[in-house]
Formats: sequence, structure tokens, C-alpha cells
Amino acid sequence: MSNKNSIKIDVNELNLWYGEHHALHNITVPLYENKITALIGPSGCGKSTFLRCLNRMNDLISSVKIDGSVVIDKKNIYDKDVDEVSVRKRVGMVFQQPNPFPKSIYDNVSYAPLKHGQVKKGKDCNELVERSLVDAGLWDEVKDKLNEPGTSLSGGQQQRLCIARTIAVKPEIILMDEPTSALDPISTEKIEALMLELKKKYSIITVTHNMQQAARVADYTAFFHLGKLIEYDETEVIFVNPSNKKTEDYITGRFG
Amino acid sequence: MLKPYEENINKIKSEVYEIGQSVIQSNKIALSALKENDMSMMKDISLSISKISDKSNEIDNLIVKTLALYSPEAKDLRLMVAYLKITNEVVRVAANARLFSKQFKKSFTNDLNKKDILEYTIPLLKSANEALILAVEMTKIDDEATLEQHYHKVCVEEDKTDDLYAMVSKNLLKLMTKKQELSKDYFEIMSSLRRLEKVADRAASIANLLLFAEVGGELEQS
Repeated sequence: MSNKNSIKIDVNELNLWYGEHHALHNITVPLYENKITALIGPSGCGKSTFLRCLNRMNDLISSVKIDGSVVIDKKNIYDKDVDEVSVRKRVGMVFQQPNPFPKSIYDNVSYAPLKHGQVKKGKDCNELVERSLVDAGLWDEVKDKLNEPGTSLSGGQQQRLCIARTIAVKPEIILMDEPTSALDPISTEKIEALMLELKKKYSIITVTHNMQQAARVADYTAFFHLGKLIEYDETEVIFVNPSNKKTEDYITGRFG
Repeated sequence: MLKPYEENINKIKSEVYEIGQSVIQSNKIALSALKENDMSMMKDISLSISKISDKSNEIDNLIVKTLALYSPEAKDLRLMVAYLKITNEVVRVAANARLFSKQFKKSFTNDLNKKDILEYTIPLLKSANEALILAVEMTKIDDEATLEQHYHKVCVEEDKTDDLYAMVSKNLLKLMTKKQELSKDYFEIMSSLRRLEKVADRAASIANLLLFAEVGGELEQS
């Protein structure tokens, strides 16, 4: 696959074990800047595990052992001198279930930037909250009720609040783990449209079980099977002319 | 509707419109040549079938890509299927228009009874092109009632071309019997005019497909 895009994350020979179980096998893949990359594959194929490697979320699991490298802007995030909290600040994450904090809409967005010392309470913080909610496509719906609890919003709005919360700390990369699987089709379309807007500023890597979603929004698609990266290419190639039979069988519903 | 999907649909529509326009323009030049009785004007027809074919392939591949990436349903699916068939119809329209101008220019010699030939050829070409103009305009219409009106107008023009072709054929057969030594030339003129009838048939097929895309129902080959 020839490519002129700049690489944001360069994954090289990444292996991961859960105890004795070898879950990821020699994954080598370049992930591009300001592009959406979708990770697809049947349940248990390692796509979420791989996603969590990109911001060291697997460090939280004691039985996990990782080797290989995940280089972001020329620095391996698994180097000993790298602090995982600083990694997660640069690589934000949105989960399957919307999980707003049990706080107000305003506090959900301002919490992390205040904790990280990125802003101080007051005008700067208000501006950051507004900008994040605008970028997440939620501002018009919540601007008159910023003090209401985040949990009072609908599922789709809560997910966009989580995206606003993620982008408030100004990450460079956003990881999304099945961000719309708990949402109805209308909310899903809003999130997909939002992803297309967000990629102008961020590099996005998303896990999805919905192949149509991968086809609709992703620039690149990676197909995983049994912990191996089977095929990775432009989404158009994967969905029109995949080169690997396993990929073709999976996307045409013949297995998985 | 996601923006890239909408952009693809608009691109498909506008590119089909563009190739349709190139055929319409060549027919207009041919019509002026017939009206002026000056076949040299046909040299301005620059209809390249290979270019139209290439463009049509490009559009077809964009349609395949759009089907694969956006899984359109209902009206959107009908639209994609309709356009996939329309590109083929436009190539056939172009081939017929090209053959008409080439064959007619070659066969329309001074030995023939030009007056009798042109009497029905001009309205025949006019009707065939009018059918095509109306059909291609339908790519820009979203309103069901207006589409149906256009469709009926295309059908009227197509019927007119059938009638005019029948009349001109009758005249040509009479001329052939009068001057048997020119029967080959008259036959070639008749054969070129048959191309115009086919242009109108294809225009009706395009209109039918566009109506199917909007209104739905069963896909029928016309």
C-alpha cells in the first residue's frame, strides 16, 4: 500500500500476552494523521486489545505483557521514561457505553483540564468548555443547562459529552471503542458526522462491529483475526477489492 | 446523510448530466447543419465515444464504491442502480448520435432528393434531441410530479420520432423505387436515421430509470 499521508502512530512488531495467552501477534501498522482508521474483526480477534495498547490502557491489567513498539511522533510510548498519564492526555479515549461523571455538564468537560492545570477556573475555563462542546456538536443543545447533571442527557448526547470531555484536554489522537453500539440510528449518524468533522483536527482510531460504519466513516480499515492483522488498506480497497480471502469472507458475512 | 455520501451522489448526477450534455450539443450542431443544408458544419461535432466510455466507466466505479461504502437503501439504492444502468444508456445514445452524423454526412450526396429527405429528417432529429434534453434534465429534478411530467414529455417525443421515422422511411422507399441506381445511398440514409430513433428510445429508457429511482416500483427494461 503506497501512501503519502504522514504517520501519526507507528506500531512495530507489537505482541501482547494475557498471562500465557498470546493475544496479539507481531502487529506492524502505520496509523495516519488526521485520518479515521477502523479496526474490524470478529469478537475476540484482538481489536480492542490493540486499541488499548495505543494509550497504554492495558498497563492497568497485571497479567498483561507487551513487547514491540508504539511510536507516536518518534517516541515509543512504552519506553521506560514515558509516563502513561501523559500518554493518555495525548491519546484520548471514548468508550462503548457513554460514561459521564456524576457531575454537571460543565464539570464533565472542565474536570480534566483543571486537574491537568491546562486552564484555571473562570473565563479561560468557560471558553474551553464552550469550544469543546461546540466541537462535539453539543453546545446548542446544552448551553442553557450547563449546570444540570451530565447523566440527565440522552444516550447520544451523553456520548457527545464524553467526546467533548475527551477533546477538552487537547489530545492529538482519539481512540473510540465501539462508540455508537449503544446508540439509536439518529444518534449514531450524529456521532459519525462528528467523527468526520473531528478528523480535521485529530487522528481517530475506532473499533467497530458495524462494518457499514467502518465503510462510511473510515479512511483506512484494519481487519483482525485471531490476534493477527490480516489486512490493512484504504477502506475503499477493503470493501470493494480486498486482497485476502479471509477479509472478503468476513465483510461479506461468511464467517464471524 | 453523511457529507461524503452526499458528495458522491451529487458527483454521479452531475457527471452523467455532463456526458448527456456533450451528446445534446453534438445533436444541436447536426441539426443546424441540416437546417442550413451544409454538411460541412458537422465537422464541428467532436463527440468522442471513447472519452464518453471512459467517463462512464469512471462513474460506474464511483457507483460501485458508493454502494460498497454507504450501503444505500430504498430510494438511495434505486438511484444507484438506476444510474449504473443510465451510464450504459448514455454511451449507447452517444454511439447512435455519432453514427448518425457520420453516416448521414457521408451518404447525403447531391444525387439524392435532399428536399424530400430533409422534410422529415429535421423534425426527426429535433424530436430525438428534445427527448434526450428532457431526459437529461430529469437528473436535476427531485420533485416527483415534475419528474412524471418530464417523463411523459419524453414519451411524447419518442412517439414522434417513431412516427417521423416511419414517414421518412416510406418516402425513402418511394425514392428508391424511382431511382434504383441510388437505392444503396437511400438505404444508408435510412439506416442513419434509424440511429435517431434509437437515440429517442434510449432517452425514454433514461427517463424511465430516473422515474424508477424517484417513485420506485419494479425495475423494467424499456
